[in-house]
Amino acid sequence: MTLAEITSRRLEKVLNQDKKDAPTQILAMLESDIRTLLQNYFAIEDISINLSVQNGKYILSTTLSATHLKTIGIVR
Amino acid sequence: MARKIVITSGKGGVGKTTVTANLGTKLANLGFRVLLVDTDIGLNNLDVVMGVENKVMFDILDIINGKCRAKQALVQDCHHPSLFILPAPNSDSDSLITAGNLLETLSTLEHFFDYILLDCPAGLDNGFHRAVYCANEAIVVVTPHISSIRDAGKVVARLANYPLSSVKLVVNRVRGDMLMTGDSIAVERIIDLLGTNILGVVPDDDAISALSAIGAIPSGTTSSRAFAILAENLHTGTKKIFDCTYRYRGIAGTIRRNLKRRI
Ligand SMILES: Nc1ncnc2c1ncn2[C@@H]1O[C@H](COP(=O)(O)OP(=O)(O)OP(=O)(O)O)[C@@H](O)[C@H]1O
Ligand SMILES: [Mg+2]
Repeated sequence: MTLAEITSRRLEKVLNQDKKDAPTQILAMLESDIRTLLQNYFAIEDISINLSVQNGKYILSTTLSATHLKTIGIVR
Repeated sequence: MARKIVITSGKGGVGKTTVTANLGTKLANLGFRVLLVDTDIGLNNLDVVMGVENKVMFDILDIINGKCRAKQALVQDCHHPSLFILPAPNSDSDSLITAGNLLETLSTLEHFFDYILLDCPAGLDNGFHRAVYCANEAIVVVTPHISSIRDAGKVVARLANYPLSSVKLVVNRVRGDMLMTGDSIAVERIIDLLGTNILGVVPDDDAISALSAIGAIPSGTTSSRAFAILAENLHTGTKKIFDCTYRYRGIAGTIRRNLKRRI
């Protein structure tokens, strides 16, 4: 393996780790905002929000379980 | 109205001031009216790199304190009549100059220029904010070294907080010989890792450090050609990339490469 390849692999790990470290405070705010938004639509039982970094990109996944969809206020 | 571009990096010593000075000179060569602003308060060097330190009468702080008008503080470059430098105070007066103060100062000057290049201090604190706040575009200078690329990643993330219309990379100090031997990370890989567009590359050139000591901008050198391409890319939107490896190809190139090899 060349020095360039070693540098490249190390950098990829370091940059991904830096991205993961960055949003710890933001995640709490994001979670609360998403919860508030989804409460308008669902009677939420459980919600989990996961932020990960894959190939240098943030991936946000939200899993929600709800007993029913809120339909009041929706004009048909 | 001027395009206001901040030249930043996160890591110190990677070539922000060098890029500001040389890019500014090349833009002036193209006939544009260019203002170079030293926002590295207390650690100012742009005046020295441009060779005008003896012509400095006033600085940014004097404008803010009302000791002079903004135009009076500008220093004209010795070789290019359309190139001006706005010096930073030499003393540690960082806390006396807010981002708002600087923006106000530049707003009185921006009508007279096509380009305003802001030489940003290293780091991500006050000085960074002050410079980026006044800009509408950013150039992130990075060298092909692991610590510089890592810091550039943090800078690119931080710049996302500002309403900038463009953020582009300049990869400085590229060693063509090391690229050929696989000892240096490729420019394309740096772009890929940082997920940012590139403005151009500048080769590592002894002429830059040698000639900066006598306050001259290197002309007719390899890096001078690279800076000319950078200026063209910036103004016209072309995406030309200077080939840093051309000197190291063929028989003569192999000899050059072996002579330069240090590891
Ligand atoms: N392409 C290059 N080839 C050779 N030397 C270079 C190159 N670019 C910059 N240098 C040298 O590297 C040193 C640091 O450059 P410069 O002062 O421009 O960095 P900086 O990022 O502005 O530093 P600071 O963070 O301290 O403001 C200088 O001695 C300069 O001459
Ligand atoms: Mg500098």
